[in-house]
Amino acid sequence: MFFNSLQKIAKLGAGLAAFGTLAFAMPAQAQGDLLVAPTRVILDGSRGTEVILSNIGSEEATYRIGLELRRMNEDGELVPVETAEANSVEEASLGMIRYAPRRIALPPGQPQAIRLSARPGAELPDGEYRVHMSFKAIPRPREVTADEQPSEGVTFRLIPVYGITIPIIVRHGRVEAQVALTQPAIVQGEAGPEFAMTIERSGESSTYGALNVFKPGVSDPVLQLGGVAVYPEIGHREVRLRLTPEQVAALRGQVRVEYREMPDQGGGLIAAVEGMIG
Amino acid sequence: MTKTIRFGAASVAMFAALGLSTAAHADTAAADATAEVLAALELTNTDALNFGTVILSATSTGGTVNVDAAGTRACAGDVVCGPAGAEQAAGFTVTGTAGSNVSVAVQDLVANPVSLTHTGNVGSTNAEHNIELTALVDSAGGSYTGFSGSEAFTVGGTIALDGSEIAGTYEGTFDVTVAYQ
Repeated sequence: MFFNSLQKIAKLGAGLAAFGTLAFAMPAQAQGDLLVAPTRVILDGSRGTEVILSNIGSEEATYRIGLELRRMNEDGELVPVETAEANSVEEASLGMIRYAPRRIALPPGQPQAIRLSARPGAELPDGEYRVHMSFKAIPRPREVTADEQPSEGVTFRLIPVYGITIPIIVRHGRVEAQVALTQPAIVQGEAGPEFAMTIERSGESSTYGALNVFKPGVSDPVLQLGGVAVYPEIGHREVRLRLTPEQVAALRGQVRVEYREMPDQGGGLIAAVEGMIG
Repeated sequence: MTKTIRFGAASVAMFAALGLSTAAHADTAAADATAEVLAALELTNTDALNFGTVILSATSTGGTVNVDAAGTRACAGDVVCGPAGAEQAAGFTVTGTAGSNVSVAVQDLVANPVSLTHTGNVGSTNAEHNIELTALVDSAGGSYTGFSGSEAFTVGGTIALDGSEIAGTYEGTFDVTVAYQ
């Protein structure tokens, strides 16, 4: 009798367990995983483009697409800016971007294109305008079942709302940038030696590229730092890169530093400097 | 700088199967095969942030529970850590182009505070139904210099209890953003 009812409970339990795991796995994992491509958009003229958002999770998810403002500081960090604190350039940037859709429900494995374009006003001064497009899953509301309330103690469920932001850059009219590099050096950082130099930038345009450090007679760079952007709101950007003892040894002596566009942008030289690292 | 502007439109690499033939002549409709390869950025969540179970005595004066980015839990003040095992830091994996500049930001709790609310009393603002999330910390420490192409990072946090909280489950959300320059 006892054995019999136990068996029944076990059966019931198996069914419940399967259901239970599913219900539990949902909020914790894989709801809202996402892929965004490309990772950087430059718009010039009236031609629009598309950004692909794909659900790479295992559950259906609803994503919200929004526009945010960021300002780069001299350490190269992008600091969020509240809309209320936006300056005139940032307000104009937010106002000129058209995009759709702004909310997408996607089954797993499903990509969708978000169309976007820029409509700068005719009276707008020439310059570079920028917003950061954010892609974020909206957490799904879930039912609370009575039996998961523990009778004593306190437990927690923290649901991360996670997403990606990419820069959307609008070049309106004629924009240029002049770039110079300062002498590179090795300095003592908080956690050991660091490669240090400064990128000086002037003009209306941002620059974006890779920093490569070469030794005379060696074709491959001894040090590489990709995707270094210097946005128009800053006139110079401090570049710091932590070094291993081997890298320190390899860098000493005569070096040449090149700041080049990324290979997919043509790889053109933006600025270079010869220096001596002691 | 004119080069940058000319390449404008989108930072895409154009690969044509038959070399970089100037495609776009769709009217000849013959053998030109083109494909665009876009640089992509992926973000996946592998683990939730979990503080495990915490026990409050009836006379508790409150305290804090911290789960650091490594997932180690510590209870301070008049709060007792329940059985260990469930606690963990939130885990994420970010995948993109190696060598690109990727940064990680967690919600600024000063500007946008987070309160965990008792799941049986959603919407209540009573102290006994709410627990404040007072800190978030990410293992990436802001940004990657020398992004390898795929990096895992974790997010830990601290919650503050005032001792009046009723038993049960408390739920809240927090933002994690991966930004590309």
